[in-house]
Amino acid sequence: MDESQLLKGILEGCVLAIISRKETYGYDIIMQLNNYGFHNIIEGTLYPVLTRLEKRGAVKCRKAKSPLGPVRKYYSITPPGETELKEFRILYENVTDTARHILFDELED
Amino acid sequence: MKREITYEDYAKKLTGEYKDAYDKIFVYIKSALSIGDEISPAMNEVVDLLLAAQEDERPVEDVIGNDMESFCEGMVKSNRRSFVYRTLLFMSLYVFIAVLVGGVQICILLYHVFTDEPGAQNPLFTGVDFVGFLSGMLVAFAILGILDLVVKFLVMKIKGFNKKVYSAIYWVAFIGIGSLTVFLISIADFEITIPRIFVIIFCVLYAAGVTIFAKIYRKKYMPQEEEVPPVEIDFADDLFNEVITVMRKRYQKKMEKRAKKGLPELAPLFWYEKEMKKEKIAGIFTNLFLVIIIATAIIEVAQDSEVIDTMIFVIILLALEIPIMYAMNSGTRKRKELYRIMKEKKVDFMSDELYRKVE
Repeated sequence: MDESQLLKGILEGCVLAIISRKETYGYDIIMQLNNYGFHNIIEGTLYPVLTRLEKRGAVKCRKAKSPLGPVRKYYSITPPGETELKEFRILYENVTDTARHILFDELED
Repeated sequence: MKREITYEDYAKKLTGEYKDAYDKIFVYIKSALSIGDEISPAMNEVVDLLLAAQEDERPVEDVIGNDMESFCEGMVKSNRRSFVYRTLLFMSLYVFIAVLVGGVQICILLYHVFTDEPGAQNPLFTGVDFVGFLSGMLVAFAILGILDLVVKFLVMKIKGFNKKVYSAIYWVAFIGIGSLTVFLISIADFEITIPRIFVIIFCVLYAAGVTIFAKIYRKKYMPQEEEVPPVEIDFADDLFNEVITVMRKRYQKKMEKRAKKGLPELAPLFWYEKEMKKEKIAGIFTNLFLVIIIATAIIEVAQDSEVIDTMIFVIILLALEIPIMYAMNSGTRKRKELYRIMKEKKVDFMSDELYRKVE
């Protein structure tokens, strides 16, 4: 089974969680995801996720000149985003608990 | 004269695999974005990402992934504008033409008001072949739109086009097709004249209407983003550095040709002196040619018109010609300045210390 299919469902929540810690930007988010072990999700997925989060008001974006020169977008979480993250965490726990029972209960018996 | 530093300036700092990735991504995104979409927001992000990876010495795959096409598609999706916004942006491009056409018609109107004999036809209602011109523009643009799609399809397929080739195809097609279409319409005698007053009203309403509507739309539907103040550099310094880069490339090409023929390499300053002499002679012939062209035009006008018409024509011609000539000669002035600095400081133009700092 392709790992990326599983990751697509949780990527928004993970990105929101990273942004909730401090104001951050694209490269930093990618590095943090890499450091946590998500290496292959970058293709075509991160920037649309950031755009979707911004469009529905979960994050806000400000542009500033980066230390390297080009204009950089810095993302920070909004109050509705905090609520969304809280709800996501509850939903994630429920889903993973249920899935764990289905996948591993027979094995444990 | 100032100009804004763009992502293309920062992209020059990329090297090796990062530069290769940038070149491929640029071609893809440029081809994939539609008319009205802006490439700058996407490319600023890409350049920033690649510069950060280069600084941290991380492989390109770490920031872009293994599938560059998917990464590019993601960037394009994130930066695609809404259909309404793109349409408005496209219509805004023609505001300048509407102002120009309206302005020219108003000038012609005023000219006739002050010079026509009593009893002549009211200049407000003199027919203008505006519809032929407008039809030509619309048809040319429709054909250009189809060509734009075809070129983008070919670029995606071949993926070998670089930015200069793409731009050249676009401008040749725009000028070629536009001119051909207007020419064909004029041959076909497709003339539907409408009164000048309606042309002026149409141009004013178009220019004002599109501008106001675009402003309202942006204010209401576009997110209010904090504008980043542009970083500016002096155009003169930028042009100076560009001249150094161009002259280096020309010198290297010339020496490669000489080496193939078994000829000895020329000292950079000696070669540069010879180039300046050739340029001086070419400049004399160019200026002479332009003087002949302008004089011919003035004589033609003077033969058919009154003195006042000729004077107005000469003033307009000089008002347009002088800034164009000044701009065209800016490269020549910078090359002379470079030559003077090289002689004074006894510096070879292959040396990096000649470059003026651009931050």
